Amino acid sequence: MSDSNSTRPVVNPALLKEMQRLEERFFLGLEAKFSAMEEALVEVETHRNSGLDARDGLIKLHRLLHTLAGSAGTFGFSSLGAQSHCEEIFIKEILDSKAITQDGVTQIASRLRSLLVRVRRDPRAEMPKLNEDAVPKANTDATCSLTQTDSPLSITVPTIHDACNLVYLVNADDALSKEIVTQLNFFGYEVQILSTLPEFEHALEQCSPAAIVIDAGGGVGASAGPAAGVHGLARIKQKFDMKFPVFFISDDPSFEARLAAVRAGANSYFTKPIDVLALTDRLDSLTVHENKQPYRILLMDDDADGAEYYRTLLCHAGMEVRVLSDPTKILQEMLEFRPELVLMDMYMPSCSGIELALLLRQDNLYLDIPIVFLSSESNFGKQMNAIESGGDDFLIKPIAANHLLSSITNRIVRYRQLRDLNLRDSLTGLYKHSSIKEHLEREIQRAKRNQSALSFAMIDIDHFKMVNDKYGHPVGDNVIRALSRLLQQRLRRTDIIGRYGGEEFAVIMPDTPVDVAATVLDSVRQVFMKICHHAKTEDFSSSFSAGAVELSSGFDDKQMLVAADEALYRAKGNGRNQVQIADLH
Amino acid sequence: MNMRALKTILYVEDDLDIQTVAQIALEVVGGFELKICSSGKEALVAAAEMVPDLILLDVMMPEMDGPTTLEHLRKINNTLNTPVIFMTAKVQNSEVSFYKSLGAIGVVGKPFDPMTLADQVRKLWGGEDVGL
Repeated sequence: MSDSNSTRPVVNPALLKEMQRLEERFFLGLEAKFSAMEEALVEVETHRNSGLDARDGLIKLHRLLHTLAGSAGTFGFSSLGAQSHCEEIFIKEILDSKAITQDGVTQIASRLRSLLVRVRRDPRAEMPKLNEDAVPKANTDATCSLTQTDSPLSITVPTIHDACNLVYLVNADDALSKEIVTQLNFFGYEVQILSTLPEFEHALEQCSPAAIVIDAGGGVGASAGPAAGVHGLARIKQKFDMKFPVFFISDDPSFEARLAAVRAGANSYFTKPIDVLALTDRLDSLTVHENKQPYRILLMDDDADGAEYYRTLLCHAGMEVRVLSDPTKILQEMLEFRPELVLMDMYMPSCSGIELALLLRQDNLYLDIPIVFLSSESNFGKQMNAIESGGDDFLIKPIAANHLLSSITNRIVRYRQLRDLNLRDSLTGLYKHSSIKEHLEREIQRAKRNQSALSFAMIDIDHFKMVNDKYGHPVGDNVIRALSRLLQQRLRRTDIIGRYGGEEFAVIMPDTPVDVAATVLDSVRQVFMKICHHAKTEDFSSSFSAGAVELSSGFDDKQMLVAADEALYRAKGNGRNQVQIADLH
Repeated sequence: MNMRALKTILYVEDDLDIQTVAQIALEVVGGFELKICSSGKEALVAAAEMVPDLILLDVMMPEMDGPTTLEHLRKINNTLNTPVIFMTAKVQNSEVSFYKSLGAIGVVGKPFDPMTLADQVRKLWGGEDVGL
């Protein structure tokens, strides 16, 4: 970096280390800043709702955002800084206007909550692009050095990019709108309420949303009839190229009404009273990409130049690549990097590719990982030997880039699908009991090696048996799904979430001290409490208790489980709906 | 244009994270002597007891903001004419001229790069009009 900028003085390593320490401290302090913003926002909302002056709270919020806008970039979180700056300007405009309106506050709340969901998951996440048709950006999470340079790559990866999270709500019923906005905010969507069809048309000209939710009646002042929204949408559709999903909400459950909605392009049709959670579920399934993680590839090659060429190629396609030249380090690399495909040369100094493949296949953990040979070996017999040793494919150098990418991609996609079937819980899509334990073991090893912090938590939904008994199992399942989705939305991408049993969840948080873990879980708890669940007879809310523990020296996975469980029971014993930290003394 | 070498800086900033980083940037990287204050009020107390070469002043602070602090500093003998640099998040050109009209010799935009902050300050001190 210092070469590129002549004004940058040569710095000593101690200084860099100190800067890294400060960056880390800043990172760990972020949650406290986010919570402070949330508090200020709640103050603004409460004051506004009870007719009091919301200005003070808003000024507080503005200052918090302004401070973050000014500091985040210095600590290496420039995207977070830029996003805070956007919100700061937006709030300033409202502060400068004559009155702080309810609408203004709703908009601020919606934008800010959606920002918080995003940055809590990944503080380095890029600002979402509002127009999906714009050039999709290369995946910025890939940890290969190519993507760490300042100039973004021009190569595009259409499969991996952030989905836009803006939803247009065309609806005239204030109470219903408010409920939908609140619930969608919880799950990270930003909602813009539009009360008439012309307003909606106008908004479409500005920006294309991730989805729209529209009242079949068409909103305020719609011409006539209960299907004005349906007809209006059909008309608007002729003008715009609407690629996003359309959700109708309606009073009319009849076949005719539904058919009209289908013809107008509806992807979903919800009758009132609206089950907002079910709506969110559908929205997630239609807008969120299931697995956005870049493909992880281990490239085993003793020839540095050759390896560099393939690494560059794969990195450009958005994959995460680690190059290994010493075959004796492969087992450690398998554990640490957890590749989803091993690409290896046939001939290496200390052992052959065939031997290495056999060695990997000896371990049950690696029975199913795709191993692809990449070599200039043209002897067919030797190629067959390689396949028999447990290789999945044999690619011959030189190979066309497209050919290499497509065969690798296909194998990884299949590998992921099969793994998911085996490892993930069908109701929630989270890791199952057995795989969360495996992950915990692995993360403990890694934390010990890197001397980094590691937290683990058990979460249990309060009085869940009562929910099942009172409202039935399908409703109970919905509560479980809601919590699982919330955890996925709220925790960072690096956190590992599992469904441990019935209503019990487990969370592994790498590089996280337990007090930070507890703060994060507590903010999830507070949101979960506010989520409204629907049953036939009534609406209800639910809560959870959690116990968290930090890895300390000499601990293994079993001791961590026991300690987290004890803390969880303490949380239950203390009256539930709380997060407790394990007492290790 | 200042020909004298820059040595002591009175630095006023309420954000503790930024304070720590700026301290390293200015003391370790830049080699300046720093008096750090966390508020305008503290700065006024400090100014009564020292004669800084330069004042580095955050614009947005609770209670007493940067411009107000400057107004008060100008009533204290030690800081009657001390050159001032404002620090603020992403400013526009119009704002820069506003701060200059208050008598500032320049503005440092936030976020700053800790490795080049000292350099930037030194250039402003020397009379160069460095961009943000």
